[in-house]
Amino acid sequence: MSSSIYCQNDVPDVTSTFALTNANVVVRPGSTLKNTTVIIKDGYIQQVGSNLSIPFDAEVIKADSMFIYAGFIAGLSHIGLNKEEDKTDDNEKVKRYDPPPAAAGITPDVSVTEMLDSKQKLIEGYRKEGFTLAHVVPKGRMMAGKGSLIFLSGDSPAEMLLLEDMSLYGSLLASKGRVYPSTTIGVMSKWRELYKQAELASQHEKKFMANPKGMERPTYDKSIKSLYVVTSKSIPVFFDAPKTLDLSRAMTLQKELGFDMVAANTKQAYKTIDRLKQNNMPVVISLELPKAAKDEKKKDEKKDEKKGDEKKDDELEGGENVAKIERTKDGMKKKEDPEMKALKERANKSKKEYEAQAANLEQDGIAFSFSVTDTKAGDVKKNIMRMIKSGLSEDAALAALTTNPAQVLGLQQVAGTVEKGKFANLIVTDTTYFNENANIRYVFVDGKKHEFEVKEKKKQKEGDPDAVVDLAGTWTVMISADGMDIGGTIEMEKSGDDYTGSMTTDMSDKTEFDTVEVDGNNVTIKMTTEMNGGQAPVVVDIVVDDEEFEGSVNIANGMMTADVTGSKDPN
Amino acid sequence: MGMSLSAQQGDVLIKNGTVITITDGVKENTDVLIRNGKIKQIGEGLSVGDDVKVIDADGMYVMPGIIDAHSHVGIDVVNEATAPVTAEVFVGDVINPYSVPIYRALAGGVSVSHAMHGSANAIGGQCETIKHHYGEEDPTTYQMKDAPRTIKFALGENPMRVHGEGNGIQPKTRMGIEQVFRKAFAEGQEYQNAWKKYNSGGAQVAPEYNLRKQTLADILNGDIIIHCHSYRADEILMLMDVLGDYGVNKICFQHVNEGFKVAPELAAFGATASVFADWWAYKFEVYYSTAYNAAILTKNGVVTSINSDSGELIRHLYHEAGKSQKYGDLTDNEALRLITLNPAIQLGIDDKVGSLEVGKDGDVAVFNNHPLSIYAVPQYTIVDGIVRFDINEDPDDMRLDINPDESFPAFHELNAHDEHRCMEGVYEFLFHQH
Amino acid sequence: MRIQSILYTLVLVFTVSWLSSQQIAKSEKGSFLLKNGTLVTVTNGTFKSDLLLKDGKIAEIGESLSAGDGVTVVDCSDKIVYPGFIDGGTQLGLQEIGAVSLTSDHNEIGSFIPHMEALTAVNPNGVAIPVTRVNGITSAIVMPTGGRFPGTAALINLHGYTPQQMFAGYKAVVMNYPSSGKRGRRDRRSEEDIKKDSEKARKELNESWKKVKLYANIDAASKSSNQEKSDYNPAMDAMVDVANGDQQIMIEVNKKADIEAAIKWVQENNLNAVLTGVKEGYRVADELAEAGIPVIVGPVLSIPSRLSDKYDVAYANPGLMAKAGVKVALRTNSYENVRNLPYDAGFAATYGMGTEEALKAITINPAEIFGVADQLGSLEVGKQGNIFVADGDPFETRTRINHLFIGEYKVPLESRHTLLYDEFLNRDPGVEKK
Repeated sequence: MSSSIYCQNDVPDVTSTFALTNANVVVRPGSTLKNTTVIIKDGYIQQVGSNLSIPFDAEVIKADSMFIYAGFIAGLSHIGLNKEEDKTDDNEKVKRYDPPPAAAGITPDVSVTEMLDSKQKLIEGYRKEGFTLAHVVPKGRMMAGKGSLIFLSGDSPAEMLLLEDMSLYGSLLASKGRVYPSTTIGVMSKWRELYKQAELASQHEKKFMANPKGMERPTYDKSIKSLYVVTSKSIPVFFDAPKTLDLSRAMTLQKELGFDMVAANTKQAYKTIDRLKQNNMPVVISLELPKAAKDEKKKDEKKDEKKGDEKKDDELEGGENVAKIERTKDGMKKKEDPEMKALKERANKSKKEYEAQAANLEQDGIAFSFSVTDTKAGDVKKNIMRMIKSGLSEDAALAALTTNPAQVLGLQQVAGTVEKGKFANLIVTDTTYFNENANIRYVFVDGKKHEFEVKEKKKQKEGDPDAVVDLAGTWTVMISADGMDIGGTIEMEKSGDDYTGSMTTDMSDKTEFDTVEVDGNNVTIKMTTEMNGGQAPVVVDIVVDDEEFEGSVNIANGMMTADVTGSKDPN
Repeated sequence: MGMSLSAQQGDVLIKNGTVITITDGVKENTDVLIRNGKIKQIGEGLSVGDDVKVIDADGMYVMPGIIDAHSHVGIDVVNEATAPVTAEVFVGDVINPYSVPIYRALAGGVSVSHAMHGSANAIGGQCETIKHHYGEEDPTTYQMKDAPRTIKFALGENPMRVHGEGNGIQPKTRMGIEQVFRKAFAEGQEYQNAWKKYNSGGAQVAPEYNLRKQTLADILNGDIIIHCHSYRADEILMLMDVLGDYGVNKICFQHVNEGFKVAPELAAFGATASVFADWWAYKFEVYYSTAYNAAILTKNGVVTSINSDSGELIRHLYHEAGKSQKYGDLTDNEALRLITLNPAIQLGIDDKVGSLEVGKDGDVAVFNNHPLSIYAVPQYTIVDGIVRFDINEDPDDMRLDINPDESFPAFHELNAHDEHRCMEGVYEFLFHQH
Repeated sequence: MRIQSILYTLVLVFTVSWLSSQQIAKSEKGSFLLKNGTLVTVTNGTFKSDLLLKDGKIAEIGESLSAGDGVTVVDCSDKIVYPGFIDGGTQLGLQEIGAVSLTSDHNEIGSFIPHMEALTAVNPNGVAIPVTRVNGITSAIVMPTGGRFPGTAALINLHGYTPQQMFAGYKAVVMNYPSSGKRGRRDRRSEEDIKKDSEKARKELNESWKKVKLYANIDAASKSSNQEKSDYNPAMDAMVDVANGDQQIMIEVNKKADIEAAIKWVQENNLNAVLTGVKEGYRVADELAEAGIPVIVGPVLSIPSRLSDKYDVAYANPGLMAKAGVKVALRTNSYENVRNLPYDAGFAATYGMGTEEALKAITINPAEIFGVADQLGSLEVGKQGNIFVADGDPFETRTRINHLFIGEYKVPLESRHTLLYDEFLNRDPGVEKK
C-alpha cells in the first residue's frame, strides 16, 4: 500500500482488509460455495468460508446474492505498454541483404519491463472487464522480445511487475522494411540459423568460462545471447499463430529445433488438434472473433416492399448485384441468386467455425487460455458469450480466464482460484458473470479495491429501417458519462445522397465526420478525435425521432462510453 | 481430417482404357490396378473385390499423372529477394494446401509439381517437389517422400534487375552473375573445410553456424539438384563452365529459351532442359527464341520437359506438349514424355513416377480423348491411388478455407501474366515481368 | 506436289542464306487456283471444290476450274481450305518486347484520349506478325489500352509494309468501363474502398458523357449552320460518331455487375457497342442476348476470375453465351502469341461451344461485328483472298499449315521461329571437343 505523506490532496487509504460477505463464491470452475464470505488482507486471500468472524479493521462489502470469481488472467497481451512499443528499426539506409538485427525484427533482447507505463489506458480498460493479471509481451516482428507478468494495478512499473522475462514472444512476421528476412521463408530459415547459433555460442561460452587459455573468445552478440534461455528451455516461446498454416509452420520449427512452445493467439486451432495433442502443447486462443453474421432474412423481407433506390436494395457488401428479379402474377419479386446464396452460406459457416474454436478444443479435452493482443476490451464479454453460444461451457470459459492461464504461466500456486493463500485478485458481479446483463461491481487487484458504478442501460430505442429522416441542420447535443454532462453542437449538411457534418463540444474542437451511415432512422456517425496525443475513433450510434435523437457514444474502441441526446434547432 | 503425417494411399482399378505407359508402348483395352498407392498390375481383364473403387475407362486414354517441373502453385511465398544469394530459404516451409490453383492443376491432369523459389536471385531458395493431395489440410502431406533436394538458380535479366538495378549491388551484368556463383561456391567450400577440421578435432571452437553456406556446401557435395532459370546461350555456357570447375553436374536449365543454340553442349554436359512450349518476346533475352526449342533439344539428345511456370498453363500442359508436334514433329511418345518421364528424371523421382510401370506410384490421369488432341478433357486425376479430381464430382466451390470476413470471393481482373509468379515479391519499383 | 516442294526448298535455301539479316522471304504476288481441296466455307457448308483467287479476291468456287494465264496452280488434294482467322483483340504490332516499355505503343498517358490511333503506331515489320500469320491468323484487331478512353482500335490484315496497306477497313473507339472488381492479385484495397472508387469512376464517366453528347450536338449544329467550332478538340471530335451511333464503340468490361451496368449505359445512350473481355458473360448471357449486343471474349485460356468459380468456367464462357443467343467472337488479347487463337477456339469448342460455333467465332462472327463481312470471314465469291490451307483440323496442334494467302499475296510460311529452327536443328559446328 502506498501512502504518500507528502501529497495532502489525496485522501489516504484506511485499510487493506476487506470482507466480502455472504456471496456465491466460485472457487474454481465447477465449484461454487453459497453464502460464503471471503476475507482478504494485505493483498492475499486470508479466508474463504461461512460464518467467519470479520476482522476489526475490515471494510465490509455486503455481497449477498453476488458472485465472486478469481480475477481473470490474460494469457497474452500488450497491456500496459507505453507508446514506443515496436522496437524494430525502419531505417531506410540499412543494407537490405545484411541489416542490423533490429531492422530485421530480431529483438529477443528487448524486455517488456522497460516499456511498462502504469498509466496506460488499457490497464484500466481491461481491469474493468475483470482482468487482474496479464502476460505482457512487446510488439514486434519475428522475435519481438521477452514477456513479463504484471498486475493490472500499481502506481509505477515496479509495483506492476510480478515476474520479468519469463517468455519469448515470437512469430513468423517478416521485417517491416524491405530487408532480410522479408518473407515467411526467410523468417523460418533465420529462426533455424539463430537457434543453432545460440546453441553453439552457449556451448562455446561455457567452454571458454571453464578454460579460456588459448581459446578463441566468444564474440558478443546480444540477440544470440538473449536466446540462451530459450535454447536451454528455461523459458518457453509464445509463438503467435493466428491461422492454421501459421500454427503448422511454427510447429514445424518447434519439432526441428526443440524449444518449449505455447501456441499463441490462435483462431483456428481446432484444425490442428491432433498435432497439439501429440506435442502436449499449451494453447492460448485469440479472444478476437470475425464480425457476426448479419440476420439477413429479416432485412430481405422488409426490403421487398420498400420503394426507393433500387440500386441500394440490390447490393450487398462489395457492390454485388445479388437479387434477381422474378416476374410473377403479383408483380416483381426478388429471387435470391442460388450461387450467391451458397457463397454467403459458406462465409457464414466459416464464421461459425471461428466462433466454435473454443468449444471444439473443449470437446477434445484441450485446456486453453485467452490472448487479447488483438481484442478490444469492450468486446471481451461479447465474444465470450458468442463462444458460449457456439457450444463452449461456462466452466471451460471460466477456466480459460483463470485456472488455465495460471497453469500455463506458472502461477497456479498464487492465482486462478479463490482460495486461502492466493493473491487477492477477485471479481464481484451482481449476478452470474455469464448472464448477458451482469455487471461487474468490484475488481480487486493485488488486494486493492476498484469499484464500478452500475450503468443504467437506457432502453435502446429500436431503430426502424423504413423510416425516413432528415438530418440536415444544427443539433444541440448533450453527452453524459460518469455523472458528467458535456454540451455540444452537431452541424449536418446533405450532399446528394450522403451527409457530411461536424461536431463541436465544450471539451473538444470542431471535428469533421469521417462517415455518416443512415439506415432508416438508425444513424451511425464516425469521426476521429485527438486524445492523449494520439488519434482515437469515435462512434456515435443514435436513433432519430423526427427532431430528437438519443443513443450512445463510443470513444477509442470502448475505452469510454457515454449516452447522448440531441434536438434539432428550429430553423 | 488430416490425421496422418503422410497422406493416405488408395486402391483403384482403372478398367479397359487405352493405356499410354510411356516406357512400354500403348496398350489397348488394358487395366491398371493400384493397390496401397502403388501400381500393382497392368494387364487385361483384371478383377478386384468390392473394396476397390473401379473406374470405367472404356474409350478413354490412361496416362501417367502429368508432372510440372516448374511451378509456384500452392506456396505462399515465391521470392526472398533481399539478397543475391539466399540458398538457405525453403519454399517447402510455406506450402498452402488451401490453394485453389492446386485443384485447378489437378483438373488439368497434373499430379506432381515442382514448387519453386522465384527467379529474383542468382542463387535462390530450395524448392520442393509436391504431390497434389488436394483435400488434405496438413501441408506435410504434400511433401513427396524421398524426392531429392532441389534449388533454384537464376541467370540473366531478373537477378540483374532486382539486385543490380534495384539494390545497387552486384550482379548488374552477366559478368557479375558469374562471379556471384564463384564466390558462393568458394565460400561453401571454405565453410565445409572449416567444419571438417573442427569435427575431426583439428579446432577447439566450432565455426560459426551459417545455414546459407551449409546449403552451398551441400550443393557442392552433389546433394541438391540445381534448377537454373536461364535464357541466353552464353550464360548457359557460363554456368556449365563454373559447375565444371567445382565438379557439380546435377543441373536442369529452366526456360532456357536459347538452349537450342547450345543443344550439343548441353547434351555433352549431361544437363537437362525444362522449357516453355511457346512463350517468347516478353523480355529482350527471349526475343530470339523459337517455339521449336523443345524439338531441337530433344533431337540433339537433351532430356527435355515442358513446364508451365504459371497457374494458368499448368491446367493444360497436355496441350502445351501437343505443340511440340506442331513445332518440330515430335512423335506422340516423345511429346508425352515431355510432361511425364522427362520431368521426373529432372526432379530425380523417375524411379517413382513418370510412367505406368508396376511398382511406381499410382499417379494416373485419364482423358476422354487422346491427351494430345485439343478435344481432350481430363476426367480423373489420381494421386497415390486416391482420386483427387473427378469431373463427375466437381462441386461449384472448391475452396477449403474460407475467409470469414469476405462475404463472397472477390472478382479479380486477372490478365494473362498474373498467374506467373516468378518475380512475385520483388518490389514495386521494378518491372513485374517473368 | 513435287514441284511445290522443290519450290519450297528453293525458297528455304534463299532464306537460309539471308539469315544474317533474319528477314522473311518475299511474298509472291499473283493469282492462284487452289485445286481439289475440301473447302470449309463457314457460311455455305463444307465440300470438295476448287477455288480461284484472282487479283486478291475469291473469284470463283466450283469444281474443275481451269487456271488460265498467269494463274499458279496450288495442289490442295487431301488438304482443307479455310478462311483466314480473325483475332478480335490484340496488341500485335504495338508491342515488341513485354519488359521493354519503350517498345510498347498501346498505352498512352491520359484517360480521355480516344483520338489516339492504334493503326498508325502499328509496326508492320514487327517480328511477331509473321509468327502469327503462319498459324492461319490473317487479320487482327489492334487495340490501345489503359485509361477510360485509351484510343481508337483498328482491324488490320497481317501483310503489308505500311499500316495503311494493312488496314482492313474498320475502326472503333475503345472504352474501359469502370470496374468494381479487384484489379489483380496484388490489389489490396478493401471492399469499401473498391466500392467507393468504382462509384466515383461511374460518376466521372457520366459527367464526361454529358460533355460528349453536348459536343456532338454542337458539332451537328456547326455543320448544319456552317459555322466553325472554336477550339481544336481532337478527343471530342473522335467521339462524335460514337455518340451519334454511327461508329462502333468497344467496351471492355468483365465483372457481372459491371456488364449489367454497361448494357444499361449502352442502351440509355443508344450506342452501337460491342463488349470485350466479358469474363463473367456467362452469368448474364440472357441479358446480353436480349440486348442484342455482340461480345468479343478472351483469352479463353485464362483462369477463372473468382476463387469459388469452377475450374473450367473461362473455357465454357463463350459456349454458354453462344447457346443463349449471343453473337460471340474470340480474341487472344496478346501481342506475341496471337498465333494461339485457334487453340483458344479449340478449347471453347471442347468445353461446350462446339467446333462449328467456335470456328464462326474466329471467322464470320468478328467479320460481321466489324462490318467487314463483305470482305472477310468466309469462303465466298467476292470476298478478299485471306485463306490458308492445312492438312487437318486447325484446332489440333499436330495440324500443319501448308499455304497462306493474304489478298493478292501468297505469303511464305516463315517466321523468326522457323528460321531459327532451320539454323539450329543440326548446328554446324557442333560441340567443341575440349
